[in-house]
Amino acid sequence: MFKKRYGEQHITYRELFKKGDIGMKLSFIIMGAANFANKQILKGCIFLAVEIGFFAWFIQNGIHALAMLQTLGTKKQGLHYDTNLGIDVLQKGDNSMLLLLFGIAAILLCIVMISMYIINLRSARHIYETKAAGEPVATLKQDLSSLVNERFHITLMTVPLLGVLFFTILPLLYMISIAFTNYDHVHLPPKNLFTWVGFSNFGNVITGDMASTFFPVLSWTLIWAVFATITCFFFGVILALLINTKGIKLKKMWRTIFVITIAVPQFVSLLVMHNLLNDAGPINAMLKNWGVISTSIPFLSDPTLAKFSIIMVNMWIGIPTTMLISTGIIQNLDQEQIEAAEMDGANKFQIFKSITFPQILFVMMPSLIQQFIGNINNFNVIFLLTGGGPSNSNYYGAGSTDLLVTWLYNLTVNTMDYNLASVIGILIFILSAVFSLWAYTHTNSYKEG
Amino acid sequence: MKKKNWKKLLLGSLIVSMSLMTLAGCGSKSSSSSDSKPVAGGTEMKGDIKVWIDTEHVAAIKSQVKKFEKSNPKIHVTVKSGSSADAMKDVSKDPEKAADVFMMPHDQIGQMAEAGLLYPVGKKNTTTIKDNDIQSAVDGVTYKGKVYGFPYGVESQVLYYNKSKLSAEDVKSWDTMTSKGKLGTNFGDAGANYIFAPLFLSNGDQIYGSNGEDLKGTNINNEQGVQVLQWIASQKQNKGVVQTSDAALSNLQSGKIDAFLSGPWSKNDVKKALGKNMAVAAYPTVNFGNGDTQMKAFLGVKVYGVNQQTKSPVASLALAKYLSNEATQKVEFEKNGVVPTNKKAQALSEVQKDQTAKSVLEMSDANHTVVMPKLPEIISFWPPMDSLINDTYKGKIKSSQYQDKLNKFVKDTSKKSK
Amino acid sequence: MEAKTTNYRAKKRNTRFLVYAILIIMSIIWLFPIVWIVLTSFRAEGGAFVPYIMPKSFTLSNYTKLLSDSTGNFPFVRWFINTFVVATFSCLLSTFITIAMAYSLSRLRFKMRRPFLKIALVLNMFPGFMSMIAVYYILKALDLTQSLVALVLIYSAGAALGFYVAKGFFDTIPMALDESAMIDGANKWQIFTKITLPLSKPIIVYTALMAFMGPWMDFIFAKIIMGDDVKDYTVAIGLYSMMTKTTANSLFMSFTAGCVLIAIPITLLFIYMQKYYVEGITSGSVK
Repeated sequence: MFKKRYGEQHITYRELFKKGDIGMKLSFIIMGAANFANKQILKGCIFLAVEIGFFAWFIQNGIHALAMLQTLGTKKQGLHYDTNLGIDVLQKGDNSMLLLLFGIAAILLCIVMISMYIINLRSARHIYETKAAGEPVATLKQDLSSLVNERFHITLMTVPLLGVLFFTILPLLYMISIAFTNYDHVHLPPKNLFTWVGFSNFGNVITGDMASTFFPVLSWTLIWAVFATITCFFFGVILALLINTKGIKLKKMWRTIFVITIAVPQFVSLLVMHNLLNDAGPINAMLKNWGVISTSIPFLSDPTLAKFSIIMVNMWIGIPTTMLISTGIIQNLDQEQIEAAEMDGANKFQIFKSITFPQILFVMMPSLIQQFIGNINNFNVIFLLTGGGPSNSNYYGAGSTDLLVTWLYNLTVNTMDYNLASVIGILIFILSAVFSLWAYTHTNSYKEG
Repeated sequence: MKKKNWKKLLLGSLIVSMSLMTLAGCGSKSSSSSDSKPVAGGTEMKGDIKVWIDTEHVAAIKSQVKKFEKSNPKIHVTVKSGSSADAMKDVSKDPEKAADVFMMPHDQIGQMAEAGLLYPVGKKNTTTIKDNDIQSAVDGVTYKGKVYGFPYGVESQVLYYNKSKLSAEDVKSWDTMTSKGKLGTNFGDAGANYIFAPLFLSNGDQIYGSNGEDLKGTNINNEQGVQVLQWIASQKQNKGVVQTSDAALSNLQSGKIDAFLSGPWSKNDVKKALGKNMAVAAYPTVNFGNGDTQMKAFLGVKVYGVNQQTKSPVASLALAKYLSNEATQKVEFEKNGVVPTNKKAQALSEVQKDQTAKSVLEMSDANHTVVMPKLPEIISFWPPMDSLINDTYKGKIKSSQYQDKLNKFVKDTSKKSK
Repeated sequence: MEAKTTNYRAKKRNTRFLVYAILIIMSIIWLFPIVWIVLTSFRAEGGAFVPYIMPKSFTLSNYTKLLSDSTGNFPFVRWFINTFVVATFSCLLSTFITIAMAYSLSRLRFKMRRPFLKIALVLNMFPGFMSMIAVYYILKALDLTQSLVALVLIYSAGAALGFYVAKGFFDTIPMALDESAMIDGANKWQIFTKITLPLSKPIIVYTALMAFMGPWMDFIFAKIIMGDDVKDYTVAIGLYSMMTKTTANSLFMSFTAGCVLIAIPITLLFIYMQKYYVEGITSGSVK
């Protein structure tokens, strides 16, 4: 409400410069001048310190960082023979990777500085406007008390957002930038420089050599995500219903049995599954001893069966979570409604179909969407269970069960083609972002009051 | 409530101050890294050196490091466990914080040299290495005419077998061996590339040229190459060949298989599995359809590399040299069964008496092995080679497609970059 | 009439029998791998692969080997303490951050709120591998690599975007409570601490539980940050580092022993806390 009132009355900065007093005019060059002139000493100091700090940094490092961003380095690392020592001596060169990372950091910093400058001007304007309205300028105490009131979100969110800026957004921008460079296995720092190449990596992935790998891997990723999400959800709900069947004893014990698997770290349970399902693992050996089979079932070494096994193992991991959640929902269901339906002669299945299930689905929709996205990016299951194998001679750097995300991992760790990996990362991102934004705006459960 | 700016100010100033701290930190570092003056310290025999050693070698190396420190009191060495197989990955992550001296397999030399991660050993050390070590080890550490590491061990696959089931005569030929006993080996799973890619070499083809540095030197897309694939496919029907990868040792113990192909690193495990029935031999001969020919393996050289970014190059080179000298190689052989590259160490009676070492040494000549290629592009060679062998063995590639697949393979693996 | 009742009862008994049967079969499937881990951790013979389930001979030496750290390469006890410390601190910090973010975005109104909700939703969707190296160098610039502080910082920084479940919970607390407090003259801070937080026990416990469990599971990111600093490893990196190609066979039983040792406390904690887990995750959407 207050925002609006002031919002309508703002004068332009040009007017402010013309009409303002000397402190306000000075604010256009020396940040915080208007605040000093009006006894907002602390605030003025902060503005001024920021400005001084920024320019000190800018002259010392900033100009260099920004300039290098254009070329990503020009001087190669080299070795020069030192006759005194009888060995070559290292002469350091530019490191494109670090130049890129810190160049982006410098840009972010400049953006922050510009917004600080604007805030400084707004502050000056605000003082001008309050004075013009004949009101007293806010004191330090008033300012501080607003931080636990109408500006409470700033108090709560500043520190977390700093973390997001430095540990999420900065790395993200860095990663996106790499997609536009030739940072691959022949341009590895520190000795080699890499540079900007525009969109050619995208061309390579979508139309070039990589396309014959990209599209099959993409489709398996989607199939996997759909099946992994649906199977876990569906069977988890059924398990919850079974446990909550009337007359079943030791409900808590049954639940606990399944809950144990949530608590075992995934890298443990998946490595163990890898071992158990091996061609020579205990399961095959057991079945052979019993005479059920004569040759090993290639659980993880046949491409089709491996995909099937992965989904099964994923059910082992995912069902308990769904079971636990749906138990919570089932216990909260409106019993009267169910009894009324029973009176009307509805059978168990009908009740499930038209009362229980829709209710569960409604509650779980957000987590289902999250699980779907999570499954697209599900690194652990594939990496630890099959490592992407069995191999596939039609693919570049990927195996039959590799998802986009594990393929991306292979490209960075094994073949060191960071640029291609980054392109794939961007494509995964677009895929998940579009889907989740669509889901976000189209499902009831996401809509907020 | 009038001071909307106040809070933004707080937020902004926090960001700026934190950013400044960050960038002051990186700024100073990045500016120093673009400094072109040569490394100041480290020209003398002193400094703190960190060395990465494979976990199972740590105990043996620590004792040697102590001796080294005694004779070089100004050098302080920290031994940390690392993983030689991941040397490239671990060093390139952050060369400044990586070890000064590290264990690595020689096939990463090309890639690491190209990325500027390895210190060339210099003229004097090169002469020492050439004088003291066998030729194949020297070949292994040489890349584009420069020596980039100190060899300390040689590795090649050998044939372990159960002598209660197979005789020394039986294991001389693949066909006899697999008709009289069962060989457990891996055609169909990850890792087949290392074991069976040399089959192409056995049949007269080349992989990355004669010295493993020629990008255009792969010629397996010829008639011999097709023969090799046919032979691999035919092994699926061979009753004497059991597909086994991870479980080879337990199968050997339980008697499901009588022989398997592995390197010196398996020696102790095989000993445990077979006891006194353990026997070792060089690779057998194989027949691709034009007579018996020696089955070949890749020769791997175990190397100490020196980090190019090291602050004390002289001391680091000295340590690497020490850890690859005759005495250390002897210790490594006794404690961990590493087969020496040093000529004098090879001549030691305990090495000569050891079956496994003898077989590895027998394998290490040019008739039995080819030094594993070490040019940077080798990394894009392994995965498709794995799938080529796996899919051929499993029958997923039909014999009519062999030529096309090999053509594509050679084309893909001979590319410089995109 | 009577026949019908017995029939009905018999049917009911049959269903119950069937349900028990299914539950027993499923329990066996679910417990089998876990039992196998436990059995393997006591196995005296063999390596990573043995073609049978029941060990031929039992031993405690896998545990003693792990706990005494005779080789000096695998200081398990130290790892365990590290993980506990990291988990505790990142649990405290993350919980505060998540709750603060969720509360702000649910109860407070400000200009960038709605756009921010959407941005936060998609920011999390970038696959993290490439950014790990960037994060590593940012930490290096702050001189924080190879320290437990870095891990706490990273795990907590991630918490700022994981507020969705908690936000859903706060959305269900009636706005009227806040309004009446406001009329009584309370400021936002007082409303947050005196009214909202006491009502939010389930979601706080849920958030804390999730944050506490994270460090026990992460092995990739932590490894990049820790590098060769073995004594500062968490259990997840440590145990995973035992499974390299050359050591996997000989260390497998000790590995499983380590798994059992970390699974026990987490399992107990989880079983004890599962009520909150359910309440936390479901409450957000039950209106």
